[in-house]
Amino acid sequence: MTTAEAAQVAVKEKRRRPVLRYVLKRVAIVPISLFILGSVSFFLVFLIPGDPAITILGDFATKEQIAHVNSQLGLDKPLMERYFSFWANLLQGDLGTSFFTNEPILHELGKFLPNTIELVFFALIFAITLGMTIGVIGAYFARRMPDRLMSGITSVLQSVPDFFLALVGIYVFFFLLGWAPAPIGRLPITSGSADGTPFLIFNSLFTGNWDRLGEAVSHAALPVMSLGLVYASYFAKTARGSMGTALTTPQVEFARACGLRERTVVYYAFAASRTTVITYIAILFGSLLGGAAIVERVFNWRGMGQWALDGVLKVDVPIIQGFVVTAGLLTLTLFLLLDLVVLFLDPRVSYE
Amino acid sequence: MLRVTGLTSQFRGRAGVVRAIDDVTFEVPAGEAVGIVGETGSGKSVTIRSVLGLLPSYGKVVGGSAEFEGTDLVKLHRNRLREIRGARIGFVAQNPFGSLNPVLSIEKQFRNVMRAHRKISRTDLRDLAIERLESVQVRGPERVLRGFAHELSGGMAQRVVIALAMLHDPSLVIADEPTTALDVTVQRQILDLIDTQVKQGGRSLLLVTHDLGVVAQYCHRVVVMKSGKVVETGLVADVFTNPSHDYTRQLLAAVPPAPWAQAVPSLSGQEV
Repeated sequence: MTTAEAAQVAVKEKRRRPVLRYVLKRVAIVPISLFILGSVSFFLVFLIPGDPAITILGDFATKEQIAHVNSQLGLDKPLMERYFSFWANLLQGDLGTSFFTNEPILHELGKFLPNTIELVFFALIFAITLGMTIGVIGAYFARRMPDRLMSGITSVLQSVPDFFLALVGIYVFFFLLGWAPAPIGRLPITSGSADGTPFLIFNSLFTGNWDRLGEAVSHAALPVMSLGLVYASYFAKTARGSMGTALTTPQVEFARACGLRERTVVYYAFAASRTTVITYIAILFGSLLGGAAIVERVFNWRGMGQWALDGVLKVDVPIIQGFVVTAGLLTLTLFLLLDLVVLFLDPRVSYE
Repeated sequence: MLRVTGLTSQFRGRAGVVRAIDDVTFEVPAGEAVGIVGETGSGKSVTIRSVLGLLPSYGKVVGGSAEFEGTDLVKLHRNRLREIRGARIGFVAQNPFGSLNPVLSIEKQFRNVMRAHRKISRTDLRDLAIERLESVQVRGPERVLRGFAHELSGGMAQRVVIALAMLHDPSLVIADEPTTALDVTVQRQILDLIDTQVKQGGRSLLLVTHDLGVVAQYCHRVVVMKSGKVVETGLVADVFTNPSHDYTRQLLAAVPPAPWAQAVPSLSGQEV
């Protein structure tokens, strides 16, 4: 074997192993992040003004009553003892029980989280499709009429709050036109509660329950669009920026100079800028888990944001902790996935 | 071959409309090499982009013609122009790293350029790409095809770009400062390579550069540009020995006195 060949083999070896090392390193960070996340969720709660016992008993409770409730909730024990038992329970998957409903947090999450995931999932699909279209059109016709039109649309979408869009949607499509069903949750009253079927839309789709699917989709349309339209503006802005830059790069000019068709040229630009957009998907998904709270409330969606908001208002400590831990865990997982996807899509990412 | 007559292009900007090139006229006869020289901002790049229809969306050719093999490229429909670009006219750009797509494999880029003009099977394409990479002295073409642009050195990347530009055996090659972004040691090799490829195929060459030494060595004719206008054009020997325009004289005077173009030895055989 000549030196050159040996060097080539060495390069190949070196190239393969760092990927694995990078992935392992990335996964190894997760427990550390989880520890920080759990601790923060435990201690942050003490920064929230308000006393759960007083919230439960009302302003005219006696000292004895408050002490009694505090001991029932375990709030009279020393801080560190509570911290350790919090971790002991958490590691066994026990997030405690709500101060007010006495329901296990895990059980409540099982009801509310799937609703939010479905809402956020479809809202993001809608936002990506619309936002990317607006952004790519704007970038392609940079500084010309379509670009100005698209950036006008983007500004409008960005400046309207999602809950306001929701209210306008209800007024126009439910009240005036009667196209959309009443904003009373996931299903019409006559169909009973949707709590028994998590992931209502996916569930109906895969079990072939077409009637229920139709009802679920029509109830989801307005909330999905209220969130999707607003978040489309973020994708539009990102896509306009990254595609706009990519389309003026020499590689796009060279692609044109080689006679590639326009759609291949646009694909070249997109391939070079897609990781930016993918990063945005992960960030927005994380922020929407709680950020959809008001829209969820407007449509009585029974989602996690709405649940956590109620928890915060009532100083229901286990609910707040459960929400922070769950949302954090989901976000961490998503970011891990994101890094792996980017690693796979962009050969330039260094593994060091 | 290529006859550019009265070509005029404008850009729309914040400060209003700017005329980037004005009444540019020159000719690239078949089988000859023509150099366009001039300082930065003199309109060299805008001229070739106007010819190829590659001006950015806020730029526009407003007058003149660019006749290539009997067709006026300026008036040609964009789809017909696309069929000529890359097939009849090859383009070698300034920055080889910038020219290649960063996230697609080199083989995929060869396939896309090939399929833009002609149908070909995957295996045929591989064979052809390997053959072409070998002809531009790329070592280990199989490995290069599997890899990505960032794994190549500047010289290697520019060889890949040249192979892509020559893939469809164009009759005219347009090179826009093909060596500016490269190491001095590699510049000469790349120019020699372009020269060989052009001569072997009996092609014409339009070479944009700000280096008069390069023009003296590789070109038959020269077009001198300043502020968007052609100030002098003619055979290299005539223009260089007997410049008729002040600006040409200034350009020539700005060249270092030693015949350094000849003094740089070619470091062929060295890995670049």
